[in-house]
Amino acid sequence: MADQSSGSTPVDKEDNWGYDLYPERRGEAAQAKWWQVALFGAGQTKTEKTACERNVYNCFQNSPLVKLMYSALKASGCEIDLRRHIACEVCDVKVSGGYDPRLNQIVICQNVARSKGMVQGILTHEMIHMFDACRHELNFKDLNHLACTEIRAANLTHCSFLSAMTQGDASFFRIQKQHAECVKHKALGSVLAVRPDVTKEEALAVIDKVFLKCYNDLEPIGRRVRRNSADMIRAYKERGNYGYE
Amino acid sequence: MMMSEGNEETKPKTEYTDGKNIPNVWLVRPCESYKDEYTECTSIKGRFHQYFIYGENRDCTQWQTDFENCMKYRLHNDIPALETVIQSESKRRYERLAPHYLNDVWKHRTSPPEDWNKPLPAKMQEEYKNTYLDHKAREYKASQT
Repeated sequence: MADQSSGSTPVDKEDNWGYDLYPERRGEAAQAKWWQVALFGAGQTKTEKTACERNVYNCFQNSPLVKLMYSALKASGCEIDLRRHIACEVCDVKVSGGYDPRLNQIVICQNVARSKGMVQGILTHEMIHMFDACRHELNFKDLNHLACTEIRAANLTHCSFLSAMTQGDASFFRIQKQHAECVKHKALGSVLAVRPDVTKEEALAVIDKVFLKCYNDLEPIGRRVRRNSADMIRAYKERGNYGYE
Repeated sequence: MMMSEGNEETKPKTEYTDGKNIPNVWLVRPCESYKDEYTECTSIKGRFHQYFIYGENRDCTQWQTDFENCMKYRLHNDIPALETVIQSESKRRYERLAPHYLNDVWKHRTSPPEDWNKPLPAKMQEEYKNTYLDHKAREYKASQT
């Protein structure tokens, strides 16, 4: 992690796994520096928070993917309470959101995720982790489990052709079956962000080991939605056929 | 392939006269959904998406078959056609759910986690009072009673 000097924070302590990216989780109130306030209008935390919460509520009312995830979770016995399970906070700019398994809460980074689109993506991604935690004995400390849930989240909510191109996994000459490469790459990034004690090689090995099983497990969305198509609505409409109504 | 056989002996026998009584008939979608899926599947953007993921084009014909059989039931009360759609949906359901249940990276739970709704730390609860989401969450709970 770029903001940690070596030796000052022992990375083998479980407590530090990723939590430094979410300072408000550790009880530190977000403090804007004077020049941030002057130049960037920072420090408008309360307005920012409410704007973020409005986006969250909007997604639960209108986004087919978020509504699908909500129904799937409810049908699995894990209904989401908007206040209990979701938090808008100021985070490190490296992240846009996360899932806190200790408190069972989704964190939306109000200072990074400012549009409905971004909030929709984060909510769907994190709700997939919740779905996995609800239906399976999910141990986030187990690298296999972590890799699997990150593969599934990347598979179902990221990696359109354009995002794969941005990430470098695909190009106009390298399209065929590049979706899987994009998912591996994204999952690797997510695993390494949360587990600074794991090397890239170790993470890749685990991802490769579980890849086939986790890449083909598409529940509860059931398809890899094509961006800017009606796929999200199709996935929502067919939820009854798979037990999520 | 799409035309039903004229020969009576090759038509599947059915004991149902009312489609609504067939088991699993709830799996059948509005016919337009099948047509919509077929259109998406065969579209240029859809084909590109398939190539990007699977490296090849997918077989879209089943959507068209389901659409035609669905319409046969709607327009002519063709019960065997409806049963064919039900079979197709059952197969689709099985093929989609199989990888999920076969994913043994983790153990399946028999019940949800007990601490799903465990109370948040008191300081957090205090901070959340009167926030936008607090109001919306209460609103929703009130509408459920």
